[in-house]
Amino acid sequence: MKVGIINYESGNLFSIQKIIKDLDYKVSIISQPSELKNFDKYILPGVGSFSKAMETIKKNKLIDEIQENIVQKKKMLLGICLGMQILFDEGTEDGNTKGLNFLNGKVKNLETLGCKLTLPHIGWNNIIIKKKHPIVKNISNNTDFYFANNYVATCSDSIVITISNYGVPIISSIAKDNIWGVQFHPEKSSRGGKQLISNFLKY
Amino acid sequence: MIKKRIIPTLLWSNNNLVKGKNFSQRRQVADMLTSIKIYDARDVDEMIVLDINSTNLKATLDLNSITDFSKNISVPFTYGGGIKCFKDALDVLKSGADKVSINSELYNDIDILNKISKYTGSQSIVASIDYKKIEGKFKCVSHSGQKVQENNPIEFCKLCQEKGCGEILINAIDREGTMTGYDLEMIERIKSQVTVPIIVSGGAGSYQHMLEAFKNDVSAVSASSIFSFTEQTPTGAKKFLKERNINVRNSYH
Repeated sequence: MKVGIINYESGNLFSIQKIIKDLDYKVSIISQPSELKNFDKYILPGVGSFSKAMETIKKNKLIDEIQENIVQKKKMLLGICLGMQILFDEGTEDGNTKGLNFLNGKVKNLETLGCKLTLPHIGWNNIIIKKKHPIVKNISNNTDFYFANNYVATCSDSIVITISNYGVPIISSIAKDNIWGVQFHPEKSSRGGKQLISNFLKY
Repeated sequence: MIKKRIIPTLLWSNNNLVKGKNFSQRRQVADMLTSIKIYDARDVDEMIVLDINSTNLKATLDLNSITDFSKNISVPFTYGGGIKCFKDALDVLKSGADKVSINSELYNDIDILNKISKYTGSQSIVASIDYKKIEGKFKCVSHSGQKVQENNPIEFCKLCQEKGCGEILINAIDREGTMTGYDLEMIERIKSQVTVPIIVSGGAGSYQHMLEAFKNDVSAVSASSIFSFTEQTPTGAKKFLKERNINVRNSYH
């Protein structure tokens, strides 16, 4: 099995690459749209702004290939942080921006959702498992993961796997068929994060 | 619920971990990469690496070492030292750091903060502010403690927040390496004026000092001497703090 990390100039890709290698899987960073089809599973990482991320994905002509492999061919995808957020219809950072539209939901600022705590939401926060799912296999309820975000996804409960609390409830992981996503950074979350990535790769 | 963080800060000089007192008298403590590996194996919450040579010498950034460090850290990693422009900051992030810490350049071009923030989001930027008391007045100090600035640290924290930093690392030079406790009065004054997470640095000598800082509602404490020169460890600190109802992170089990 070959794992591809979709690169859209979204910052540090070393950590995620290293974990996948340590777990004994073949992994490459994908920069060209034509390479996408050669992989079996994908990681969509991301830090930065929603609008900038979408702009770069469009500029690099990645949308059609991502669509083809994820929606039509139903290959597995794990979106991380901003990489999860852009899976939804719309983001509200710097005005409204259309996302990849694989999932129904909007990405909103924590402040507009009523969060009165220190922002950005930076640090280790526990996850509360709402639904049994392979993504959280062998991960205990209340395990801490590392978050670094100002925005969060809002969507139907039907795809929510875990939530976390930061002044308001935050959707911290979601899954719908072959599309999985986490708001936190498993690649920065020590052993718990490694377990989660291993769950994704083994599934 | 968010956890209070305990962050070892590693001062980096020519591939060695060094430790100073009041920003001088630096001595070598250990090999840098080895120290990083040990902290990572001990599952610390986060690490801050500050290159203390890069500001003064007109050295170029050692991006290869940043990548090497990053590959050995499975928790968030902040790098600071010698970032002189927006491009430097991006290079550091692309080399594997999760956050960049900007210090001296803030006094030259404060807009570096919003430039980076627009590109990567504010969560990747730490404004690092060193200060000391000079003739009865608190002043910011840059260039590894060498250059006194006219800015008042509290006002400067507010400005950095406005300009888009995601966290503030506040360091009391007068306390650094003294192990006499954090500057609680300053923490309280800054906390009343800014809303981004505060990491406090300079003066930790015991777990009790960390407890006092957390009671003043900082998001994180940073320490180095205590972990280099005493038997105290981040794990020990967490145990102590947990017993006193501070919400710290449990290691993965």
